[in-house]
Formats: sequence, C-alpha cells, structure tokens
Amino acid sequence: MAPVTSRSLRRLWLPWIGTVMVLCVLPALLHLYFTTSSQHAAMTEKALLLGRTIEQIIGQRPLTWEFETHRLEYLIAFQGKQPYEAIRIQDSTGAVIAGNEVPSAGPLLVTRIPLHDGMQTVGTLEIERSLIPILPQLAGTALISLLLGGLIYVVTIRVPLREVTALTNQLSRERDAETLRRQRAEEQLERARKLEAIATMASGMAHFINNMLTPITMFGGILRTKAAAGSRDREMLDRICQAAERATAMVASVLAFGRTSSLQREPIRVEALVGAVIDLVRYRLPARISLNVYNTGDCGWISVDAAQAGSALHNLLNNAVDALGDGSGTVTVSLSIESLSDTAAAGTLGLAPDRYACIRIADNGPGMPPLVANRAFEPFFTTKDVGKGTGLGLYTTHEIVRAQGGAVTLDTQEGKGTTVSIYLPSTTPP
Amino acid sequence: MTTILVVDDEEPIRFAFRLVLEDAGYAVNEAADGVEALKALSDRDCDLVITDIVMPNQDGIETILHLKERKPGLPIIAISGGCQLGFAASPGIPPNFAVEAMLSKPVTSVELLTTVRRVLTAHGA
Repeated sequence: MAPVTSRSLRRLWLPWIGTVMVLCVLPALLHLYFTTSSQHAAMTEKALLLGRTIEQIIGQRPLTWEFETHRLEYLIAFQGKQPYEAIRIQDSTGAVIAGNEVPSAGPLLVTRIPLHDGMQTVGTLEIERSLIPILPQLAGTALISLLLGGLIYVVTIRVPLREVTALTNQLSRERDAETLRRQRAEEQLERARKLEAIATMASGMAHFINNMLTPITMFGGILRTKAAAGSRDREMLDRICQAAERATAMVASVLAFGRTSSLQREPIRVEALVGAVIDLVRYRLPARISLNVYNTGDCGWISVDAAQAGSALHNLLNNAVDALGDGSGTVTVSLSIESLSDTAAAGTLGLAPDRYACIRIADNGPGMPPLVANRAFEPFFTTKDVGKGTGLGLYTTHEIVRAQGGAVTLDTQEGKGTTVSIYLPSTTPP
Repeated sequence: MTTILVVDDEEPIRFAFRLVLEDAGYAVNEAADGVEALKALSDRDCDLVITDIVMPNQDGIETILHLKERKPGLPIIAISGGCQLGFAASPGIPPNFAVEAMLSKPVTSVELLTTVRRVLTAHGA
C-alpha cells in the first residue's frame, strides 16, 4: 500500500475543499448580489414564487430551478421595452395565480399553453410571444425568461419532456399558421399585380385594334354603299363590315370589364342612379314594351362608382328588353332596402349581415332553361344571335357589383320570365 | 376651301380620314403628333382640328390644351381609341378640358362627316 503522505492527502482534499469553498461562497456571492438592493430582493422573491408555482402546477417534484441573471443575449432582445406582464399563470377557473402585476404597456401577443398534471388540465401558462424563440430545446429543460420591473430575470425550470414537446409543437403550429398567412397575402398581391398588368396590356391592345379597325370600318362602309345590291361584292363587303362591328363590340366589352378594377366610389342616392339609367333606356323603348318602376319608399344612399354601377344597370335593362324580343312585354324595376341580419340569408348571397339597397330588374319574357341559367354569369357565354352580344355583360356586371361589396342573383323560370337582383351595401348619407 | 387638320400617330388613320374628307370637298393637312400639329397651325390656315387622344398616354390631351391656348376659337373634334364613357370617367382629365365633339374609334365615314359638318356649321365656317 502506498504511504499516505501529506501531499497525497492534499491531492485528495483539494478538489473537495474547492467545491466546499465554492458552495459556501457562491450562495454568499449570490446573496450579496441579490441583496444589494431591496428591489432585487423583492423581484427575486417574486421570481422564486413563480418558479414554485409553475412547479406545483406541472406537478413534478422536485423541479430544480436556477437563477441566471447574466444572460446578456436576452437583455439585448428586450432593451427599450416597457415593463410588461410577460408571464402569467392561471388556474383552471381562469383566476391568476402568479404573474407580475405591472400593467402591460400595450397589446400583448400571448401563447397559452394548457398545463397538465398527468391527468387533467390544471391551469394555463401564458407566455408573451416574443419570449418563445428563446426557449431552448434542451431535453427536459424549459427556460422561461421573466421581465419584471424592467429587469430581466431568467428562471430555468426543469420541465418534463412532454411539456417541452407541447410548447414546441404549439410554437411550430403558430409559425406554420403565420407562414401560411404571409404566403396567402403574398399570393394575393402577386395575383393583383398580374391582373393589373393584364389590364394595362388589354387597354393598349384595345386601342391598337380600334385604330386598325378604323380604315376597315370606314372603307368597308364606303365600298359597301358603292357595290350593287345583291351583288357578290356587296355580300362580301357586308361581311367585312359585320366582322368589324363584332370586333368593335368585343373590344368595348373587354375594356369595360378591365375598368372594373379601378373604382372611384362616391355616395349617391339609389333613386338618382336608377333614375339616370332608366332615362337612358326609356326613349329607345318601342311602344310595345312598357317599363314600370316601383319604389318602396326612401331607398337611401349607396357608395359606388356611379359610371360602373350605371353601366351594370344599363346592361341589365338592355338584357331585359332584349329578352322580350319582337313581342310585347313589361320590364319592371323595383327598388327596396333589405336588412340581411340573418347570417344564413346573407351567407347564401356571399355577403356580410348588413343593410343593402336592392335593385330588381324583371322581365316577363321567355325566361331561361336551367342549362342556360347555370351558365348565365360565365364570361363569353351568350344566347344572343351572332353579332348581338359578346357574352361579357352579366359577367362584367357581376364583377362590378362584387367589387363594390354587393351581390347579383338570377331568378328565372321558363315561360315566366327573369329577375336579376342587385344588392349594394347601404351607406349613411353624406 | 375649308381646311381640316388631322392629328394621329397612326398613318392608316390619317390616310383613311384624308380620303374621306377630301372626297367630301375639304382640304386636309396632316400631323403625326402634338408638336407637328402646333407647327402646322402656325404655317397654314385651319378651320377645324380632328385629333386622336391616345390613352393612357396624356399627349393627346396636352396637345388639345395647347391648341386651345394658341387658337381659342378653333373647333376641335377629339377621337378616342377606347370606350367613350370610360374616357370621360378616367382620372387625370384636367377640368378645363373641353372639345366641340367627341367620337370613338372605329368611326364610319358617315359618322365622321356628319360630325365635321355639325361642328363647322356651329362655328360659322
């Protein structure tokens, strides 16, 4: 056996003495640090209580917790912020058990994590969201930083692994939701940009085509009158002029649709808007078609782009007149206010519950068969004879009305007639 | 002889208008843009100006404003390349903008001549 010398004893003792010294000194140092100001002491007390409470709620005994007040990286993250309630613990009734009582300086975004004791939810842990990124994914340890009274205290709490998993799962769920939200917003912006680009291109193209159509229309028209009636030349020139007319109508329709994205809304009385459009149509009505207007009282004001809303109404009135064909009939325009307070009723129209001005345009013409009615709002779908319609009218009307917060509905029955109803949100008079 | 100035950047348009107007007995001068138009006004007589309003470019409108400034009594017919209604509602039109008549392309020879006659009669040419 080796002799026990004083040197070997020292080698044995030294580490132990070192540890004892540290164990004796460290708390003293800590104690010293924390009691240099009474404020520190109070806050320390608070943080201790918080730690114990979390420990109780999570139900793991014993939880070890340590103080670290020198975590500078967290200090930097919180510099400049007002003291706020960064952490709060509530029991299952919602009563706050622990948390600092400094009122928050502004709206807080908190994440709520239910706390289980293995059997049931016993409370809620609320953590201010900006703190969550600093939760390290150390197995079995959760780090919760407390901002109390403007000073940062970091409490390390050893939490059972499943709690950490719950925290991190929640974190990633929220991050995913946020990413999805941002993605959708970007997609919408991209779509809007693309639409704008297309609208600009369409406008330029329309202008160019109208220019090129001018000599065709002008010279075609002149030569047509010079060609002998019934001659082959006349027939060909008729066709040239017709084709030019159809192209002109299509360009105008597409342009009208393109303008639906640039709205200049102004308040206008419903009766004034409808009245103006009716005046436009009335004088060109043949005597066999009668036009009636019914008003159920003051229909108030709407905030719309008058030119576009007017053109949508004009289109619907023309459709009603065209539906009556060569026979006699009646076009009825009714104005009313509808309060769509029932979410279900409003929902079927795709609208929020609110007050709406309702303009109904009805004809007692032949109505539409279901096959046609289902496609009525499709762009480029028309049942009119070749050259008489571009098929863009109802589609454009629908887009215009929807862009202004309203809805369009179609009610039709073969043999009975068709009613188109426009809903536009009511506004307060200016 | 009544002289008409046709302003349009597209040669086919100027050609078509010239043909129709000369056939109807008017003398026609051409200009391809605003600058040429103002020059033509100072070089020659002019009883009526027919000018394109290029959209969305504002050149046509500026030209008209300059023409109005230079010769206030000279009647102007504006021809737009897009839908007429849309033009009236589009933003950026200065409030002092006014012309004697407005047509939209494509026009027929009948429309053009009828409008020309109407405007000239109204302005005592």
